[in-house]
Amino acid sequence: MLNRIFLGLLLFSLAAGVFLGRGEELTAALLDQSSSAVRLALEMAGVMCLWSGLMKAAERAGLAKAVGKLFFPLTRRLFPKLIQRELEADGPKEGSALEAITMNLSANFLGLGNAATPLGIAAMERMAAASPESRCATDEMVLFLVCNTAAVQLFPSTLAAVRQAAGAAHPLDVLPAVWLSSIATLAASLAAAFIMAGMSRQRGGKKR
Amino acid sequence: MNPFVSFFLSLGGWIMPVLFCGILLYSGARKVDVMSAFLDGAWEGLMTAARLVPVLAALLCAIGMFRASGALELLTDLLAPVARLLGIPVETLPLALMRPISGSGSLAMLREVLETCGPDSLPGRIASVMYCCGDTAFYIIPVYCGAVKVTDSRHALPAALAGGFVGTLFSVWSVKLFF
Repeated sequence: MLNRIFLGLLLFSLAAGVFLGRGEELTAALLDQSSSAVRLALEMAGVMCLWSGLMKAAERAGLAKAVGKLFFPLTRRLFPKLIQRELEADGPKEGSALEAITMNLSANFLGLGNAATPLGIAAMERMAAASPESRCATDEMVLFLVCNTAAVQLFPSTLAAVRQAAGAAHPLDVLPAVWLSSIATLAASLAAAFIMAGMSRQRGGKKR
Repeated sequence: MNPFVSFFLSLGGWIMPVLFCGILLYSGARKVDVMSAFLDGAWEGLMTAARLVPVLAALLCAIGMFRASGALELLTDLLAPVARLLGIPVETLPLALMRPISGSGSLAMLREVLETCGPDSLPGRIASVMYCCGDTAFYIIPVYCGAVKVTDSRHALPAALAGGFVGTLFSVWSVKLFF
């Protein structure tokens, strides 16, 4: 699916570029962006070290578990199979997927965008460890991804700064509307994920 | 400067240092070897970052081409009648389309709407809400999946985009409701 959407995006961009005569801009964008991938990865490497290191300390101190309990009412409904697997495994406490998920969700909630990425990737790695052969995202991975793209935020600090700079009378007067719409986004994304997962099962897709 | 806002902004600025020191100090108090735990985790983080380069190269090129091609302007023109039908101000349409694709792109568009329409206008407020609800699905999903070598993300992107569409409609309705 992703593949097709990306090819569609490329094709549409190319068509638009031809239509508007933007060949040079496209060339510049390609050269620029491919080298900025390395720049971005380097920048992210530092942040990744920071947050992965912090998370390891939090796990060994039992802090991640406490945060996990806080979110349990939500995660219990979203990832029942994952929780069951972890209860059955009863293995080492370090490296639980559920803990990484809750840490990522709380980082998102606090608006720590950059911190959420390494925690989210750690969560994906741990979910993938359950089915190392599979190249397909599991239903749980999709739910987790959708929680991330919906990005419910308590402190939209970037927005506050931008509105303040633009001279808004009360930069944060939109906050109730932001909260309401974010929750609607999350609810709709989760609902869509559930419905689409059910549809793919009905089509007789691979069992997951 | 509005004192509530300045308090809010300074609060946001304190989250990182408080978390960083708080977690490490707490772990130290719980008799964890903080330094070696941090280094173990950091090493894993570094490996993950290295694995991300190919994904990022592919992704940023596709997104960069989209932004440079003028495709957004074309899409905006095409979808303007639909937006009018749904009650979405046309000024905010480019932002709504850019939101799932690029974070820096949508921030630039938010600034533009705030500048041309004013932050306290209806489109300005709607754009502000739009900017906050939903993140860059076209970036997050491939990066998260690529990092664990999952090539088929199945219905993740369609579900995220469906959610984003509902969020866009809610941005308009909620602003009209509250103001």
